[in-house]
Amino acid sequence: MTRCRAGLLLILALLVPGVAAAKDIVADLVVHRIEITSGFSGAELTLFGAVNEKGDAVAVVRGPAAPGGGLVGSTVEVRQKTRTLGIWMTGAHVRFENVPGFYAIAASRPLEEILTFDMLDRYQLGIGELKLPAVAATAPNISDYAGALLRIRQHLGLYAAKVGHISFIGDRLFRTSFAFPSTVPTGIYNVDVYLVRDGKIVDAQSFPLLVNRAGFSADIYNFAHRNGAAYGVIAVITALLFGWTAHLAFRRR
Amino acid sequence: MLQAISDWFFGLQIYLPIAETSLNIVVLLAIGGGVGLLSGLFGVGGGFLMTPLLIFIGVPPAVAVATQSNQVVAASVSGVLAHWQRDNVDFKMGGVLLVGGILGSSVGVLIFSLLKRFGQIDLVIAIAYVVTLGSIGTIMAIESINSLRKVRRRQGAPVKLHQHNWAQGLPFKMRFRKSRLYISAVVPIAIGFVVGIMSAIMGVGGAFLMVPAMIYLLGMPTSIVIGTSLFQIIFVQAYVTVLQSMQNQTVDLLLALILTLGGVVGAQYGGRWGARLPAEQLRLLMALVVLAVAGGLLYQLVAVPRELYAVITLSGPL
Repeated sequence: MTRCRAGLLLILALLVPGVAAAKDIVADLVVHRIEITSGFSGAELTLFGAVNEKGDAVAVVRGPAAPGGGLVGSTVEVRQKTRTLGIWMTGAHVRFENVPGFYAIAASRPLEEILTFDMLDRYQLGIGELKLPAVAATAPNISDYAGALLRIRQHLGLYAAKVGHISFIGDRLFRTSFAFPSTVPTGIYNVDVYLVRDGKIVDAQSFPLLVNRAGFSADIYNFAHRNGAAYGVIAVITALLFGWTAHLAFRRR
Repeated sequence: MLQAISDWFFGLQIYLPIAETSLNIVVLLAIGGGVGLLSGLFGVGGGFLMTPLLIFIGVPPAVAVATQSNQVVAASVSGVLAHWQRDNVDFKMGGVLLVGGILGSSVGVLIFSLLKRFGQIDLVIAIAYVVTLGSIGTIMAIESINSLRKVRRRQGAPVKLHQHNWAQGLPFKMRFRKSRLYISAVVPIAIGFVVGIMSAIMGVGGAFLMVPAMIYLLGMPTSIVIGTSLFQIIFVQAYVTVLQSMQNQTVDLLLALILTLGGVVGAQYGGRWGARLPAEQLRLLMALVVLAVAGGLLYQLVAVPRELYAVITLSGPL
């Protein structure tokens, strides 16, 4: 049993070279890349790891980073619909900065049992703790708009609706999984893993996760964005050929 | 066993590269086929149905609008060829309408970007749909019910080929032999222009505007109208497809191909049924479809939305 565990730890150590020896927590994803191909309908990623002594683990996936690195997320505008003359139209809006396109979190125990509110807030752990800085607003009730943003993204599966469960195998090995919807934005994501003991984060590890288009679907996307005119002409020619072929096929009968 | 097969069939998801989401291929084929059927039957592109349907199943509105233009090209080609075989296309009239259509859709794209900057584009589109579809549907329904009654009352009454109205006084008169008309080219160009503007703003082919205009304003025979309108739509929508690809990169080739696959088959059957059905009943049927869509959209405008907020990504990774 001990040998088996040591073996697993050795594998982990090899997978995360140079880190494992000095770290109290080591973790890794089974795959470091999500490839969006024509058959893509979402993905489930498994995260596994080990701790040196008994403790609690918290894992967060955030992304994608803004182009050129730097802060996670994008600028989004939340618009409220208001009724005017019986018709629902776009009314006031609030603009938020550094909003992640994807956010998922998992922990070995309920977050509030592991860490104090101050710590959760500082590390932005938990859906409610996401910092959404408003940069421009035409409405006073900004928190309503922030709430709507979280709710809509949770509904789309982009933000986790609840904290996932990290299960420990024995005292040291742990694993969990994260679900990504088919609408997952492309880019570089960040995975943070924390080791918590007695309400304190004693160690942490961070590594990237890449989400990118691949294969036929990537070819189409790149072609459309690099050479729009040629893409449009090809689209028209394809449509003409399709229509003509259909006519011929049906005339024969 | 049967259960397993149907599970597999209805679970067939395909990732659409430009729409950036995965959708059920069976649903997409069914939408393409259903809209194609109406397209062949009534001689409309079906964009006024396709666009709301695609948005409803989760395609981003901008992608839905641009992609359906491309699919309408294919559906219209197979429709035109079927009508051409029966000699039901007035190419001269189609060409004149096209001149106005290209000018109009160019202006329409400009207006579209202005409205977008103004921030109420969605509302303007929705109201435009309700007003145009509602009024056209109502006029067509009343008209076709009236003529259905007339036909029943006096069988074999002389059919009026065209109407003499104010348009007769305009210059640049042209003879359209196929349509049995001798009218000013200004009228069809103006119709093409107005329909072009509307179709660019609403993201539709515009046949549901064009067909009634050709029947009631130009006085063209109904049998010729459908083929001619389809002929004109091919070019306007091909133009719009290229324009959208260049400016917005919102044409999803894969989505268009799937919709087309269903669409061309549907349009073939629609064209055959359309040739068999009496013109007056066909018009009443189209009026009802148009009114149903207008009613649905009006309901969406006034009913309390399920979600009162909308999230729009302005910059950074989408």
